[in-house]
Amino acid sequence: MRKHVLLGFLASYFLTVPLAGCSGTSSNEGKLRSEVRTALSLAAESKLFLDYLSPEHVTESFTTAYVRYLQQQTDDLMARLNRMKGPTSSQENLAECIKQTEALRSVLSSPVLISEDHARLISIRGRVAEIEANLKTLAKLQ
Amino acid sequence: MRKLLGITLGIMTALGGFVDFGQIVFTMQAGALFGFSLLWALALGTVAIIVYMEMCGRVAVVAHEPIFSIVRAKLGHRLGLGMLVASNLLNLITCAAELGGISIALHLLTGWSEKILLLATTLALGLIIFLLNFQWIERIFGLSGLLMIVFAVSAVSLKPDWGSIGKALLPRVPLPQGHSGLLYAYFAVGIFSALLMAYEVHFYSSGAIEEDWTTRDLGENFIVASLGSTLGAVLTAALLVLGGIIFLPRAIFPDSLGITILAGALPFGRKALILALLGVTATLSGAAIETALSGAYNLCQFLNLAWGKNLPPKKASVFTATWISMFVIALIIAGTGVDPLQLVNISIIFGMVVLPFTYYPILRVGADKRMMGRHVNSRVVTIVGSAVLVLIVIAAAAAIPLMIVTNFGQPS
Repeated sequence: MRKHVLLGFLASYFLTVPLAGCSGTSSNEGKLRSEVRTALSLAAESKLFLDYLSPEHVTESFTTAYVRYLQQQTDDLMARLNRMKGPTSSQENLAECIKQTEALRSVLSSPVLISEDHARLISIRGRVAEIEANLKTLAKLQ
Repeated sequence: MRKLLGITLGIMTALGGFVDFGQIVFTMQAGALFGFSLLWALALGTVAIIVYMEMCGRVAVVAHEPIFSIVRAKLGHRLGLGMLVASNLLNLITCAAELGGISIALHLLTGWSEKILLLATTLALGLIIFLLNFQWIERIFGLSGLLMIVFAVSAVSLKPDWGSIGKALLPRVPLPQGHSGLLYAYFAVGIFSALLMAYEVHFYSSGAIEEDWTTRDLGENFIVASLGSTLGAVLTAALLVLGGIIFLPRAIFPDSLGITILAGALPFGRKALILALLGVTATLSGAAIETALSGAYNLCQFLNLAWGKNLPPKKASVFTATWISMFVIALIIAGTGVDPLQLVNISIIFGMVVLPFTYYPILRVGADKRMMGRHVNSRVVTIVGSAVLVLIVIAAAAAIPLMIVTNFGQPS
C-alpha cells in the first residue's frame, strides 16, 4: 500500500512539475535582457582575459584555445540575437546589442590576440572596455 | 605509525577525490551571482555527505551489504529497479560530462584536438582501470587531485573578507525576491546536490568491501569520511570565494571550464595555470572512473552478481562488461558535442531527485540493531541523519521546478 502511495506521488510529481515551467516562459523583453547580460558577461570575460594575457601568465596553447572559445561564444550569441524578433519597444535595444556584439566579435577575431604585440593589445583592451561600458548602459536601460 | 600513515593517505585521497565537475561549475557560478552568501548550502551539504559517507562505510563493513543490495531489499524489486536505472543513467551522464571536461582541460593545456583527446582519454582511463587494482586507482587519482589546492591558495591570496565568509555560513534572511530569489534557491539546491553526488558514496562503500575493511577500520572510516569531506568542502568553498571575488564585481557569469581554471591561476603566473589545468584533469579523470565503476557496482550488487575491481575480469564478467560499456556510451554521448556543462546541470539536479531513494534505505539499515549490533547509529547520527533526510526530500522536490523556472540557472 505504502509503495503504491509513493509511486502515485512520484507519478503526479513528474506530471505536474513541467507546469512550473509555464511561469518561467520568457517574454521577448526577458530574452533580450538575458542576452544583453550574456553579451556584457562575454565582454567582461574578454577584458579579464586581456588583462591577464602575457607569456608570464598564460601558455600559447591556452591563449589560442581560449580565444577560439570566446569567438565561438560570440558567434553563438550573434546567431541568437539575429534570430530574435524583438517587440517594437525593444527594437532599438536589440539593434544596439547586436552592434556591440558584432564589435566584440570583430575585436576577438584580431590576430593580435595571439601575438605578443603589447601596444596593440592595450589598444584592443581599450576597445573591449568601451564595448563593455556600452553594454552596461544598455543593461541599465532594460 | 603504519595506521596513521594509512589514515593520512585516506584523508588525502578523499580530499583529492572530493571535487568534481559539478562542484567546480556550480560553486563558481554561485559565487559569481551571489558572492559568499551561499556558503551555508555548502556547509549543510558537508554535514550531509559526512553522515551519508560514514553510514555507508559502516553498513558495508558491519552488515556486509553493498548499497544497491540494500536498496533492493528495502524498496522492493520494482522500485529498486527503477532507482538502479535512474542512478545508472545519471552515472552515464556524469561520466560523459567528466570525459568532455577532461578533453576541454587537456585541449587548453596542449592545444590538441578535443575529439582526439576525448578518445585518447577514454582509452587511457579504461586501460588504467583494467591494469590497476582498486587501491591504486583510488590513490593515484585522489592524490593527483590534490593539485586542486592551487584554487584554495589563489582564493586566500586574494584576501577575502573572512568576516563575510563567517556570516555567510548562516542562511541569508530575507531571501532575494523574484527571479533572483528563484535563482538563489536553484543554486542552493545545486550546491547541496553537487556535494552529495551518489556515485562518490557508492564508490566509497564498495571500496570498503573491496579493501576488506573490518570493524577495526570503523575509526578510520569515521576519520576519513569526516576530515576528508571537511577538507574537500574547504576546497569547494575556495571555488565559491574565487567566484565571489573575481567574477561578481565584473558581472561575469562563468559558464566555461576555461574561465574557472583561469580564476584559479589569476593571482599567480603560468605555473599556477598549468597546475590548475592538471588538477582539474586529474580530478575529472577520477570522477569519470568512479562513475563508470559505480555503474558496474550498482548493477551487479542489485542483481547479486560477482563484482569487484580486485576480482579477475573473467570471474566478474558482467561487472567488467558494464564499466567498459559505461565508458563507451559516455564517449559516444560526449562525442556528439553536447555541452558538458549542460550534462553536469542535468546530473546534479536529477541526482538530487533520486537521492532520497538510496539514502533512506541506508539510514534504515544503519539504525537496525539486528543488522548492525553495537555499531548501530548513535542517537546523534539518528537525529542528524533524519534531519539530512528531511533536507534531501525538500531539495529533491524543489530541484526540477527550480531548474525549469530558472532555465538551468541562467541569470536574466
